[in-house]
Parts: sequence; structure tokens; C-alpha cells
Amino acid sequence: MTLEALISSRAKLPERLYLFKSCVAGTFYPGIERSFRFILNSLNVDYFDDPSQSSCTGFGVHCGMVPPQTNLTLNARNLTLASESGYTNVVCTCPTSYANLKECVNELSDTSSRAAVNDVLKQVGLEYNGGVTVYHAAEVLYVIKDSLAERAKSSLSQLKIATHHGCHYTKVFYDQVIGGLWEYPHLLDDICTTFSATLVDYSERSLCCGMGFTNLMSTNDYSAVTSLRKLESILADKPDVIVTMCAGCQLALDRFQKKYERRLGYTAPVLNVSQLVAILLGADKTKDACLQFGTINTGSIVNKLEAL
Amino acid sequence: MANSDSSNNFDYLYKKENKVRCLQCGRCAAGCPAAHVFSEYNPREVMRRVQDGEEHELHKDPIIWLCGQCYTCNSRCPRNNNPASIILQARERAYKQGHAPAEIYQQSAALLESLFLNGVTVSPVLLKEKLGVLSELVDVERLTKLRAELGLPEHNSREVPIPAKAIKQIRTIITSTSGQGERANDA
Amino acid sequence: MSRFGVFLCRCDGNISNTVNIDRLEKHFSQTCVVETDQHLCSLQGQQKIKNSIRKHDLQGVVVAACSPNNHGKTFRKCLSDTGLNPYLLELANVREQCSWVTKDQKSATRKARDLVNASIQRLQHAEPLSEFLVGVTNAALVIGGGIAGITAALSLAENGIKTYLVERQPSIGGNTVRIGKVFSPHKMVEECAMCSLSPLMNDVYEHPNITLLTNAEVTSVIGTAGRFSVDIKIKPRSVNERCTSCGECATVCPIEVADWWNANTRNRKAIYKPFPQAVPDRYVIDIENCVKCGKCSKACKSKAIELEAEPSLQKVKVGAIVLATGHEEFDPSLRPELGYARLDNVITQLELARIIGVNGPTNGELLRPSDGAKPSKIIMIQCVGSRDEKPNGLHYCSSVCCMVALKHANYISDYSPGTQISVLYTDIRTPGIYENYYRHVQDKGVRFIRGRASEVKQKAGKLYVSVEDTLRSKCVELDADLVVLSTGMLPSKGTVELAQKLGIELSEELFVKEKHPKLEGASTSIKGIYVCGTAQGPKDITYSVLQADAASLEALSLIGQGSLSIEPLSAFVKDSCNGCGICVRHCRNNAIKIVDRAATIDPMLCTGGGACIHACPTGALDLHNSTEAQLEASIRGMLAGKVNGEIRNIAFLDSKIGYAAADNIGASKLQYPSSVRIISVPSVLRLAPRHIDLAFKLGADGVFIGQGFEAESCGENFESVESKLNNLSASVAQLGIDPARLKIYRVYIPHFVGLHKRLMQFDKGIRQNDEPSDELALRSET
Repeated sequence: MTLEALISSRAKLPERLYLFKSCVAGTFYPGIERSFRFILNSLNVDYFDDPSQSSCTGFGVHCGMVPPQTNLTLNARNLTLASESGYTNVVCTCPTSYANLKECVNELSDTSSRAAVNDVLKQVGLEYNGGVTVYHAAEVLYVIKDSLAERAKSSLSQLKIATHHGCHYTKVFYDQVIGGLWEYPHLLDDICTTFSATLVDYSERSLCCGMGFTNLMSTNDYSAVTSLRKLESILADKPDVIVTMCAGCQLALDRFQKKYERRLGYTAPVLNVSQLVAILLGADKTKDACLQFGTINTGSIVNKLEAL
Repeated sequence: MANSDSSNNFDYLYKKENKVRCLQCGRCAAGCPAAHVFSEYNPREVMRRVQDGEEHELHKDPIIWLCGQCYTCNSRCPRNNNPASIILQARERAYKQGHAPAEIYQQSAALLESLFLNGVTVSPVLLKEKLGVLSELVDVERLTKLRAELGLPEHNSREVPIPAKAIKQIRTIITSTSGQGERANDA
Repeated sequence: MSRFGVFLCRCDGNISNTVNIDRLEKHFSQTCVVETDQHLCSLQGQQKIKNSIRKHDLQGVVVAACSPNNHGKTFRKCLSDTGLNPYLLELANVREQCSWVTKDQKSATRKARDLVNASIQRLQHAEPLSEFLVGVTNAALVIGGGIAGITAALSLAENGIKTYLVERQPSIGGNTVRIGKVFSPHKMVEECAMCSLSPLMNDVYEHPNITLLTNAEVTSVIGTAGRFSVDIKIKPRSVNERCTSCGECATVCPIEVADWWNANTRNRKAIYKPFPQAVPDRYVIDIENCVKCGKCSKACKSKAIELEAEPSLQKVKVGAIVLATGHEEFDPSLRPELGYARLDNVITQLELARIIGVNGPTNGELLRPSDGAKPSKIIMIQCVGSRDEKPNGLHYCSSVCCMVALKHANYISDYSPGTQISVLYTDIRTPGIYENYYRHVQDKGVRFIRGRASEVKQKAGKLYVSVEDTLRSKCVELDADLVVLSTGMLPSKGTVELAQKLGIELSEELFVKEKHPKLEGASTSIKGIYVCGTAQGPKDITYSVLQADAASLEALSLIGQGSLSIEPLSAFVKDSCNGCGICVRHCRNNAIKIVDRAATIDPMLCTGGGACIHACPTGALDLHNSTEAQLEASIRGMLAGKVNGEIRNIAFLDSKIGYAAADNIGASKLQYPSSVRIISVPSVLRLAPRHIDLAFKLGADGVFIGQGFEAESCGENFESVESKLNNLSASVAQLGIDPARLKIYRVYIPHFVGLHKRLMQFDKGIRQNDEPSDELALRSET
């Protein structure tokens, strides 16, 4: 397969989206999901915002705290809610949910796992029968980026942007990344350039943000050292904003900048791609994009948006 | 399914089958952020121990808690091994058998409670716990204030809480698959 | 008791470890003369067969042993030596199709019994046949003008064979031209590739027995060993023989194109001469990029330019073909973490070869691309794309990259002393005497770090390579001025395309598969077609040249025979022909003519595919050695003894590609259920709806039809074979057979793994849909 074919083979807009909510985003950056809903509403994309969906438990899984069978069965329930609603394209705002749900879909194609899971689901009156596809919200934005640009009320032409693609999007199911190969994804870059942004490349492009699950909740050096390595590299060419696709990455990059502000000598606000796009489409910065949740002040970006 | 033996049926989570074919080339280690920070952690050495038949001893080694679960090792390995998933399996075993660090058990109690009560894993209520670096990073007061201003629930990461009927389903699943909340459900 | 002999080979355990030979011996002793042996193919084993034929005055022989492709000829000779017609032999392939693919002893023994039974049934309908001789065309075709093709062409021409050498590029020379320096096992000094190659290229040009066709491509090959007809398409060179190579044209040409001969390290014009020593020694217009502005025509004093030249087609007849279509480099931009194409100073070994080559972009000076500065620290990264199972990776070792890195490290140490070179390796592979080279380069102070590079980064204009020194368990970031990637070798697109056109088998890696990896390393799966150089697998120049000599020797010995004995496997006319002429239209080989109101078939032209047979409305045609009676007997035999609840699936495979692929499944010990029973047909066009129907009536649960390739199918092209198979499928559906039970695989089977996968899927599919049917059990003739 050629490079181009490899990249373009997965770029197709899914219809009837099942919005899969993230617990990390919901806790620290509620603007991510509010922004994504705002974008979908602006484009009249049909989606289902099901309150009954549970957390994917991925955060607990990666910390070794949630048993695999609990993870698999809870997600079988979530996937079943999606398939029964007819909104079979599950869209996650969180890369960990994305990878975790994909892994569950794979595991549930095994008949014995499926039978064991359905045994439990029977108790709650459900049966998993497959038929669900899992996407990340950034993939949806990537596919509709041209329609988004047409509706944009302002442009990014005055902004220098550095992007960070979440590891659980690029490195778990690496062969399914759209917008570049997994080792050099440019999904977010392509969305930003559609709005005339200037991109800033940096050497530690593929490095982890530093979030690191158990490490972030311990006192070891992983998160601080890794995040600093990442930030020093990102900030070397002084971007105006750092764009991510993961609430966990945003948490690490935003808060560690604040912590090491003096050492870094330069800071750039961190935004989820949904927040950035929503603002460009005219979303309210406080109520929709909730930019106030960022610890690095986002005012500089707002000032540099060029009205169209 | 409530008993722990059944977990063998769910030996999945990003598992790959090629681990004994590891070339020991070090591509994983050279790209590993944890190996960069900790001299005692090296995913290639983890693979070597698996090759030497020590996979089932890994869970007793505290180094397994140093991996950041970034999966760079997975995406770089020329032989399609997945050291991060080996770590993950070792963590599960360690957690189950009491080898996890004390802080993990404390945090997990809060996390699992949130999952059981509200159906969400991470939630603002978790921030009351000792969370190492995370506690230093998050200004809980500010966050609480900002959330309140937007009318977001104080203890739930969900803007619209999960309906009671759904919570009941979630609890039934958690109880049948892990035994958690057995008495609560009976009551 | 019939006067048939059944000879059961144990194959030194290869068969008898899985198949209970004693039980088979007992079983068949009731009806036939039975003998067993450890090695029927040995002289003693053969003698046993001969003695038995004489002693019992046998009328026919079944040998249950390995594939007919291994020792079919040996056993036939046993018959002819004793005066028995060699076509009164049936081979039951109980090794490749039974003992090697079935683990369970009971199932294997039962299947072996059925295979032998089917052979006995078929033998009852065998007819004595005699072979005949045809002349061999005293000419050869060599495809590919790199070092392997040049060597093969010269060897053939030197031995008096008229040889056509076809090359896609406008000059011969291939990759050897680009690599600049070559290593040799005995000297620690790099030699100039061109110094060895240039005289050979000139010899090709001047040799009276060689017709050199550059800018040319083989478009089709038909026929069989000894008598191939080949079509060659020649792109216009647009510069005629009057060209004096003065170069005025290129000076005025406004179009710049990346120069393949310089590994794209510099540009050339649309009118250009590939390199100073190019053969033919003439300019050429790259018509894909030329804008026909006419500036070159005006500049040319010799009036050599023909802008309106058209492509031409040349047809040649040859007795043998040598494939030397070479390799391509792995595209390192598929591994973006290593920075290639993003970072200027990350280059490949081939690009480095051009940079240090005297006729390269820097006239041989070691200068890096970004700023033309002299690099003082160079890092070489091994295994880029090789031994790599990530998407698009090559799973194999490309075998020359270690030596290439050593060669360049040595050369740079000699000519740019003081340059610090580090080689990051997974395993250094310098087999045999090449180890001397490794030691020598270590002495020069080149650093070897055991670890595969993870990432190349650029910070403040400097390159950094992340690698773990695995021998010290230390992760480091090494800085460098220049990073050189040792990229792997993959089969060239031309190799794969041509293999599909010719119907020769490819390895799993898509290199041309040799007929026998040890004993026939320059032969392909098709008689008369030979292979050499990197088309067959990664190798260096030394081994490419050796294999080219081997391939040309094979071709020579075939052509040297003057005539070939041809198996009489053609169609023939029975007496009921009314001369309607319908069959004539079905024969693309023009082998059938109507003479005196009856069809006659030229056995020399007939390729024995059998398409004409069921085209005949009166049933007047039949096929030697695959007669209606024989085919029917095979089907009956394969389904006999089926018990209630047992599943049996018939797989009809064409005798050349499909059957050989099945043999390879066996040789690789890939397992498949014993329900799969293979019947060899000369081509799937031999099959009529009645054969499929018969199989189902006799209790088959599923029928699989696997067609290897169109070349064996009565000269039909792929599309017409496909449409005939569609018709077959439709007719079978009309007979009321569940279409899910018939699977036709029309596609080319590139290698045996694909066939294996399909057989497994097919068998699984049949099993899943199969509900036990009493009706079927009743209908089966048990």
C-alpha cells in the first residue's frame, strides 16, 4: 500500500454519532465536550448524547485497579447502548477511551468472551451483538475540516501552533491512525492549517505528555521530568498555543507549565482541538469552550484570532 | 464470573503473541520516557525476563508501577511485542495479590467508589485523596469554584448525571464481575 | 485380485510417522499386490518396484509417496524400464497432501487410504501414451540489465545462444552503477563498481549474439519451455544513432527531473544521458517529462532528435527465459521517526554512495546535504525496514546492509580521516570471510553500538539519535552531523508484475521462489524460466553473479538439448465428431482445425487445458491423461467410503500453480483438515458443471476451485478465464446447488500461504453452514 493510500484509507465521515463522554475531561476541562457538541450542532451533525453511558474505566485499567472483566463488561454495555440506539459510531473525546473501547470491540469478537460477557449483561436485560465502530472526536473534525473552515468566523492566521497527538490514539492501534503515519501524525496539524494556522514543529513530537497514570498520582519524577522535556521542546520555537486531542495531555501540559513557569521562561496556553475549533465557529469562550479552566491564560489566543 | 479465576478468560488488553520472539534490540527502551527517568526501569529487560520465563514473577517487582503506559514500546517494536501490556497484566496481578503500593490501594478505593456510585472513573471527588504530583498540580479550590460557576455537579465529572436505572445496571455489572459492592446491592 | 501393484513409501518416517503404513498394506493386500519400502525413490526402492512389476506381470502401478513433482519421473522410468507404459502409473500424494498436513494419525491414515483408493480407481481408466519430441528455439531472453542480467546474457551469448536482453531503463547497469564502490570478501579495499561493470556493459553492446533492447518492457509471454513467444514494448528513445553524446541538447533543455541514477541526490534534464559510461552511449528523452518545446532539436547539430517517435512492439521467440529484474530500496519515509525526508541530513546508504561517488552530486567529496559542510560525526542506522514487522516492513534480513555500512565506514575512514563513525546495529551479519571486513573496520576505530535506533531528532540544527546501548543497558542520545539509514531490499515492482504475467511462484516475501531452495536455486516453478540476482532474494553482487551463471547454465542445458520430449497431454478427437467447428472457436492456441468434416488437433500447439472438451456439443473431444473417465474416477475415488456425519471437501487445483502451491503448504507443514481432498486438473477450464454436480451427488460437502494462472489455460487471458468460471458458477447454481458450497478462487495465488488461508476459510465456512443431512448421507456411495 502506498503512503497516500494508507493515510486516506480510513478518512471517511461516520454518520449518527454516539458521543462518548470522558471522565478526565468532565472533571478538569468541561469545555472539551461542550465545544464538541457546539461544533456538531453548528454543522447539524446527527449525534446521541446518551446520559446512560458509563465511564470506560480506562484510567483505572491502566493503573491496574479495574479488573479486565469489569472493564470489558461495562464497555460491552456501553457499546450495546450505542448499537441499540442506532447510533453505532461511537466517538470518544478521550484517546484512552478510544483505545480501550477498540480493544473491547476486538475482544468481544471472540465468541467465548462474548458469551461470558453476555452472561452478565443478561442480568441487566442487555445483549451485546457487535456492529459498533469506535472513533476519536479529532478524526471526525479532520474529516469535516473543510466544512468547518467554511463556517469559521475567525482564522488562525496570526497564530503559531504546536500540536500533540495523544499516545493512546497514535501508539496503541498505530495502524489505524488517520492523517499521517503513527510515528508522525499530523491529524491536528491538518485541522489547524485548514484555518490558516502556522505550525511549529518540535523535536520531541512523539514523547508522552508526562501524564503517566500511576506516575501522576505518585511522588516519583516521571510526570515532572517527562512533561518538562516535552514542554521545553514544544516551547523552543515559542508557539502561541498548544493543541491537543486528550484531556489527560492537556492536564499535564497545562498544569506543569504553570508549575515550571519560571524555569520555562515562556508559556503557551493549551487547548483541545474541539475548544479551538468551537471558538473559530463562534462559540462562547466561557460558557461553551470554558477557556477559564486552563491554568495558562488563554487571553493571548483570543486576541490573536483574526475575524473573517 | 464473580470469582477471580474467571479473569483468565479476559487475558486481553492490547496483548500480542510474539513476546518470546523479542530481538532485544532496545528500540523500546530508547524511546521509553520511563526508562529515561528511572535507571531501574527498562522495557527491553522486562521482555528479557518474559523470555526467560519469569513473566509470572514480574508482578512482585515494584518497577512495574513506573511505566507511564504511553505504548511507545508497542508502536516501535519491530517484532510486534507490547511491553506496556505485559506491564498492565503484571499490575493487575499485583493489585489482586496485594503487591501494589499502598497508595494504589488508597486511590483505587476512591476511584472504584466513584465508579460504583456515579458510573464515572475520575471525578472531582477523587481530588480529596492524596494523589502525589497531581495534588500539587491542581488547585482544587479554583477548580471547584469554576465548576460551580458553570453549574456543574460538585462530585460528579458528568454534567448530566447518569440516570438511576443505568446506575443500577452499572452496579450489577461491577458486582458480578469483581464482587465489589456485593452487600450494597443485596441491600 | 487385480494385477495392480500398490507401493507404499514410508519416506523414512516422513509418511509413516503419521500414516499407519502397516494398516494400509493390510487393507490393500486384499485387492492388489502391495509392497512397502523406507525409500521408494532410492535405487533399491526402484528395483523393488521393477522386480514386482516383472514378478507379478503388473498391469498398472500406484505409488503412494511424495508429490509427483518430486519423483514422478523416477517412478515412470521404473515402468518404462520394465516394458510397462509409463502412463499406467498413478501417484497418491500421501506426503505433501496428507502426512505433512495432518497431525492426527487416524485421520491421516484414513485420508491416505482414500487417496490410494482414488488412484486405484483412476488407474483402471489409464491409457498407454507415448511422448513426442519438439524442437527448442535456439535463443534466450534475459529480462533485466543489471549486473545479474548482464552476466547471464554474456554467458549465454558466449555459448552461441542468440540472446535478447531487455531493460526498462535507457541504459543497462542497474543498481551496480549507483552504488559506486563494491566490497569483496578477500580485499579490505573498496573497488570501483564501474571499473568492473563498464567493460561488461560494452561487451553486451558489441556482442554479435546479443540484441540489446533498452527502454523496453516485456508485456506478455506465452508458450512453454523450449518455445516461448514474447512481446516486448519499446518506448521511443527519441534520439537516434546519429547522437554523438555532445550534450548540447541537455544544456538547453528547460526541464529538470530528479535523477534516479543519482538516487535523486541531484537533478537531470528531460533529455539526458544516464551516466557517462551508459550503454547504449546515447542521449535519451524521458517522454513522461518532456514538454516537446523543441529546444533540443534546434541545438542538435547531428539531427539526432526525433520528438515524434512512437513506441514499438517487438515479438521474439526463445527457448528459455532468465529473470534478473532486481530489487528496490525500502522507502524510509515509511518510518518517519527516523527523520528521512523531514530532516535534510538524514540520508540512505545509497544516497551516501552517490555523495562519495566521483560522478555524484559533490564529485566524490563527503559533504552533507543541508549546508554542504563536511560531517565530522556520522551515525549509521542498520535494519531500516528490514527485520521489521510493522506495517509495510520487511520481515526478513536484507543480508547486505551490514556489509554496505562497513564498506562505507571503511571508505570514509580512509578518505576522510578523523570522521567519527558509529554503526547502530541489531546483529552484525558478516557471514563467512566477510568477518574479516568487520574486524578490519573495528580496527579503524569505527564504533559499533548494539541497539536499534528508536528515533532521530533535530535540535538547534544538530541531529540526535536515540538508541539503547543494549550491552550496557544504557539509553543514550548520540549527536551527529549526518545520519545514514541502511534501508532494506524489497522485490522490484517489475519482479512482482512479471512473475504474475509469467505465472511463476513467488515466495512469501514476493521474491521469485526458486524451484528447490538447495538443489535448484536458479530454477523457477515453471520449466524453462530461470532466475538470478536480487529478483530471487536479497544478495550481494558476488552471489548475484554466481546465480546468474547458474541460471544461464540451466538455460543453456535446456536449449542445448535441441529438442524436448513433450508429455502427450493434448486434447484428442474421438470418433463421434460431426465437424461443427465450435471447438475451433474455443481454442486460443489455434490447435484445432476442421479437416474432412472432422476436427483434428495439433498436439504441438495444444497446451492441454481442456477448455474445448465441454464446448463440444456431441462430446467428441477428450483430454489425454485427464480423460472424462479418469476425472470421474478421481471424483468417485476421493468421495468413496464417506461415513455419516463426515465432511469431505473437494479442491480442484490446476496441476501447475495450484498443485505446486499445495505441495508447498505440505513442505511448510501448514496443517489443514483432512476433509480437504485435492484433485489435480490440467486447468480449471477442464471442469464442466457435470463434474461439480457429480461431486455433490457423491456426497461432497463443498467444492473449491483454485486457478493458479491463465498461461496454462488454453491461451486464455485472465478476463476470459474469469468469465468462463462465472458461467460455470451460474450453471452449477442452475443445477440447484447451494452457491455457498462452491467456492471459486479466480485470483492469482501469489504464494502458498494465500492458498492455505483460503482452503482453511473454505473448510471452516462449509463446516459452519453444514447441518447434518441424511439425504446427503443416503446419496453417498459408501
